[in-house]
Amino acid sequence: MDRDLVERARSGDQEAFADLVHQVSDTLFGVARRILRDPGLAEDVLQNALVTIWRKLPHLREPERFEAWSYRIIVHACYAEAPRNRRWTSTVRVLPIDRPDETDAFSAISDRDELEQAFRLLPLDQRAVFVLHHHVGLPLVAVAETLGIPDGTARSRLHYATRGLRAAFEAGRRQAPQREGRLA
Amino acid sequence: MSDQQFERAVNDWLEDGSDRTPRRAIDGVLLAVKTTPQERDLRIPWRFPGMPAFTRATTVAAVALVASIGAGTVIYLSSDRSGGPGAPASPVPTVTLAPTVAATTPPTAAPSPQPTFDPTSASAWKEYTSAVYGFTMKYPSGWKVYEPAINEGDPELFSNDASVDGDEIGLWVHQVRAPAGADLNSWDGLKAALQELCDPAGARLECPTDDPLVPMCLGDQECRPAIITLVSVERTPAALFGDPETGLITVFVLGREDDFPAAARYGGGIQLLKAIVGQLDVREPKPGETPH
Repeated sequence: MDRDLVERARSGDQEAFADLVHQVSDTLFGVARRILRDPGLAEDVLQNALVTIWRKLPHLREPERFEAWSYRIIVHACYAEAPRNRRWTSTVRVLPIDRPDETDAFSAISDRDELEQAFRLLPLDQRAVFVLHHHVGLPLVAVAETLGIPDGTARSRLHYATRGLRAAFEAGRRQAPQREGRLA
Repeated sequence: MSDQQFERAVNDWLEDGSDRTPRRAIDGVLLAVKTTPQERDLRIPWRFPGMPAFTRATTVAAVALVASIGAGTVIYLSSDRSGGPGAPASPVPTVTLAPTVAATTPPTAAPSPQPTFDPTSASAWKEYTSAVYGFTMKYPSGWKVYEPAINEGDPELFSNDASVDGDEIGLWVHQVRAPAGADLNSWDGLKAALQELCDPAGARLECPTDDPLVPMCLGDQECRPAIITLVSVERTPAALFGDPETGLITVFVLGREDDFPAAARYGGGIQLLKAIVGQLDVREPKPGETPH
């Protein structure tokens, strides 16, 4: 992240902030979209988070920490939005049951559905740790620091999230041959 | 089933879809920024006229909130002491603060500096009666009413004397209608109510963090729930309590972190808040005491 850009935005330069927004918006949108599993809601959350970033930038004492700070703001914006939105309905995909020759594709879609549904059942704080670690690529220590939680808490949230996803994935794989058998 | 299969499946699923931010979202933000001031010395509250159009959900919630605080609304702080709804505000009786030794869960915010401030001196603080809401409270000597509430829905804003404390601190006092179904009879219920009322953009009430709350009791003899919690990404302390009869929640939000240097002479931000709400009979619970 360009430190000079952050400093100029911090001092109220709207053009610098616009440049900053263009640099970070896709990343922050990606984080929100993955945590919330709803692109429309993620868009609202991103907008709120970016305006919060603008308003609070003068409080950021270390410009080099901008990226981590912005992750924290987007995650908190996700937390804040969630109680008001009960749009956690699961997505049902139409499986290509009439194309048995595409077993791999069938299996991949089935895996994704299982993971998607399991992820939606996870609390937001576990989702946030999972996304920051697996999608953004932050080490767990950095995830904990970003979210302002102890290392052990980040570790346990990741553990429970992974366990939930793995259980759903394995259950889906066990059921897949039965489904395919019925369809054949 | 191998870890590799699982990891590959997770990777495929997690990286599915586009992260391209819709152009309209960026345009909306940049438009909002033109009319949104940055927070400088004090965190000036964001008022309705300046609120950008895109905050659809929060605007609806905020308007509902304002609408709910209608004329003739019973203000808890005054009615509690004057004995009836709509009764005029009466001065808050002077109370001796409870000992500052934590009786239950200690706050998890960064440790406060050693207190150099005598909480009992709070009884001599300046008294303030809100012209909009009618409640009466006390604020520290040397502080001023920075921006009084003009309309219903506005917070009362107080600020310190930066030349004494070394920097500026703001104190926002909101009085808002509890969300439908809120449990104002428990500590957790209060925090949940704040979570529901808050605004992710911090335009009005800031949202609570995941940090454990500090349980408090309202009332000298009885224990009606009050809490201190941390709010916003900056983890600044806030105190709140509600009145199940009127459905109103009173929220005190400090604009600085607990360990902000200018709060040191009060023993930190949390101790300062405790002293402020202590003047309204909010105290630490006795060992084993729970709301009833």
